Amino acid sequence: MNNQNKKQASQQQRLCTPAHHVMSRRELLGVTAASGLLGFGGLGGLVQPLVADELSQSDKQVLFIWIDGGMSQLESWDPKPNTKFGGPFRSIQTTLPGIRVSELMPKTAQIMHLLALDRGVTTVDNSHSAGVPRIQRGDPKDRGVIYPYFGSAVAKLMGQGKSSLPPYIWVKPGSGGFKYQDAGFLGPRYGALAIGDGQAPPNLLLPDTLSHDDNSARNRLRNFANQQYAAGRNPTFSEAQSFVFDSADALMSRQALFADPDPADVQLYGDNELGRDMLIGRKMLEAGVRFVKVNSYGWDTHGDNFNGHASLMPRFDQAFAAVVLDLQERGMLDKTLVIAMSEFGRTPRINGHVGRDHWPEAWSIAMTGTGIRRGVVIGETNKTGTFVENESHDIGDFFHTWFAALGVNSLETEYLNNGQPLPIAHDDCKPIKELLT
Amino acid sequence: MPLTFDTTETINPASQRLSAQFSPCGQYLVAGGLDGLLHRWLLSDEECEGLPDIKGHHGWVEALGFHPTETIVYSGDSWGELSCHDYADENPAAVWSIESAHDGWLRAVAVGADGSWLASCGKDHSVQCRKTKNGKIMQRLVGHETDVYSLIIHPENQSLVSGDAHGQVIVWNRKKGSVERRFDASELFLQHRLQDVGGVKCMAFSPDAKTLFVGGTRPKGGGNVQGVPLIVGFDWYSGKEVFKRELGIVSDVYVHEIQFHSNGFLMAVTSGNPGTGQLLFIDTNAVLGEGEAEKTEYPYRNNTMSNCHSISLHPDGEQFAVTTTSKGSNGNGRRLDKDGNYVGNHSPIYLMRPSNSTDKEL
Repeated sequence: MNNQNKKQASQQQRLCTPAHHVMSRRELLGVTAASGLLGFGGLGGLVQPLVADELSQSDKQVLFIWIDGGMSQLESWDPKPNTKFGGPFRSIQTTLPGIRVSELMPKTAQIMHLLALDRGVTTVDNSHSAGVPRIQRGDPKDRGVIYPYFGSAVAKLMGQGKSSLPPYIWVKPGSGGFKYQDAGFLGPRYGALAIGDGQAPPNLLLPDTLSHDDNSARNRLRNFANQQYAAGRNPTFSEAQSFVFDSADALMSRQALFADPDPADVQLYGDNELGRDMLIGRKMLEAGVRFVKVNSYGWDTHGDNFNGHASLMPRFDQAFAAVVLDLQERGMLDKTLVIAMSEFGRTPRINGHVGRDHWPEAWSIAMTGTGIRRGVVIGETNKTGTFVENESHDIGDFFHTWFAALGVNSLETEYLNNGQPLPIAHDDCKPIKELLT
Repeated sequence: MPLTFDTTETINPASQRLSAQFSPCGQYLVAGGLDGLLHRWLLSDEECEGLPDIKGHHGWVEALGFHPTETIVYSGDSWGELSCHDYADENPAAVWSIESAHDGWLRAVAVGADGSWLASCGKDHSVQCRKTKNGKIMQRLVGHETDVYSLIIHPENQSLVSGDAHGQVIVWNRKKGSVERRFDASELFLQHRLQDVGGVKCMAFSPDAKTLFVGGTRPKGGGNVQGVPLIVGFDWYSGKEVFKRELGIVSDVYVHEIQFHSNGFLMAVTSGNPGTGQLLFIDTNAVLGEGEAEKTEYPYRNNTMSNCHSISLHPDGEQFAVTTTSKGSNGNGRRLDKDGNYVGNHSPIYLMRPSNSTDKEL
């Protein structure tokens, strides 16, 4: 696929219609039927099936916090106060000696000893349309296929675990629904089930008027229809259909996941949409969901960056610190990989709208949890924060690192796409050993 | 006959400035900036002579206020420091300085008419009154629930007024140290996702001191903040809203400063998307119907200057200074100069005065 086609494919994935965002149980089932038209058949293998069996037994999970639009590294993880491009804010000491972060994240400063931070990130794209998918797919070498987002990759490589819940849930503001686009060549089964605005997918819960017996009768009819549908087709279709139905069925039995939050939790996480979604994310992890992406929008601060970050950052700070500490207190941090990142950082240069533009040259990614060394800061930008000094890391390096943290050997594990073996992360990149335990 | 103005001088500081203000004596121009420095120029008919910078601040210096009769400037920075310097000194040392006057960004300073006291405000939600002589605190006024952005003192009764990030304006009873009354300018605020957008950026009293004008934006969204520049006027005595004027389109965004010119028109500067900026003279006595504002011709409008962040009227009541940002200030990704250096922006400051002829434009 040439670059133009890749760009078009990328745009098609982003330009979804409202119909894509509404999911009912019936529609959820319909996805698998549609998947046949979308090229689902023959997909989804691994070169080493035994590896997949082993990984499926793992209890490791992922919380992927996506700060959409581009958090400013200078107003967060890599402050350069009192320098040419440093901005108005002070830096504050963290719990790590000699390590300072922006004054806008005082709560995170108090858990810095739990985190690993890379301040030497250099990536390729400086546009959202290219950057968002490229970063979340790990920017692999172009092999003529659309790679899966990290969540879909983990869903494929590690399965749904023992929870039987959907393996990839995306908690986000706005609309919910089934986002098959994330899965790329893996096929819709590995797409994201999006929880929009904290609401359960429509029609998820059984109506009161439907008795247990009637529901069982309906399921017998459904199974009969499934068998008829599967006859003469690639068995992958019916397997996918059953998988999606069972996932919906499992969610139906977890009504508590969508109950009103405990006021104490709201106070802890923040009474705003990120606090709400981070709390839902924690509940999903607690319920056993393999991969949870929590999304925050509104960070593309080309204008009024500093007043913007003055209110954005404290709300991120509260929700992020809360979930890390909450996972730790619940004994879940040791098995959960937590990542906080954007598609790029923001320019050191301050424009006339007192904003910062897109800057992939030198930014930061924070992480903690399973497999990640705690209390470590690597990577370094120069005095004014414009470029990375010494070794920089690209997103491919992080994909290798995160797979390693999850127990997936990214140097040996490969997807099998219609007989075509494909590396699961960029083959010229490698795990960042300093970030791994 | 429309107004016209000439640019008599363009000053090009090497780094970005937020605000350039004339001293009350009219002989100096002082500009705070993004580098923690106060730039100074000595003004004469022939030239603007740059003087050594006033040092000592950190972060951004946005808040400036002058003693009415002495050559003293009070300046506040984004780290919360409030300082006092003699701007006429060749190499001025701080007369006094308070490192943590506010906890964080100090946004504005206003000085009382008799020069004995000043007020400051900022990120810690407080308004503070201090003695100008030594910086000693007199009052800490609490009533805002968010960052306090702007201050003004009523020219006749010396009432202190503050405006905040949520569009609330408080008139303080300084004797009691309490809130006397409030004006609701919440049209200038929007909570968008996680972001507080807008706020009261600037205030000005009408020449007869009977109307308080507040400026900012009618926000449309956060992130890359967009909004329509907006000025709202309140009757000082009744608190009733008596004036409202939009000054452009959503990409024009903020009214950053307003001030009445001696010709009776309200001067306003706006800054929005990089490259957009306006200097406007507004007839605040004109009564406009719904939707008429966009059809109205301003007594003077100049949109050739890029991102206008402040305006300062010279004590002669005629000349003024507009602080802007260099054109082409934005851009994603790396942009290096011919020597491979990463370049920043700068802030041309335009000194302007009424034209002698009507056909001259900037």
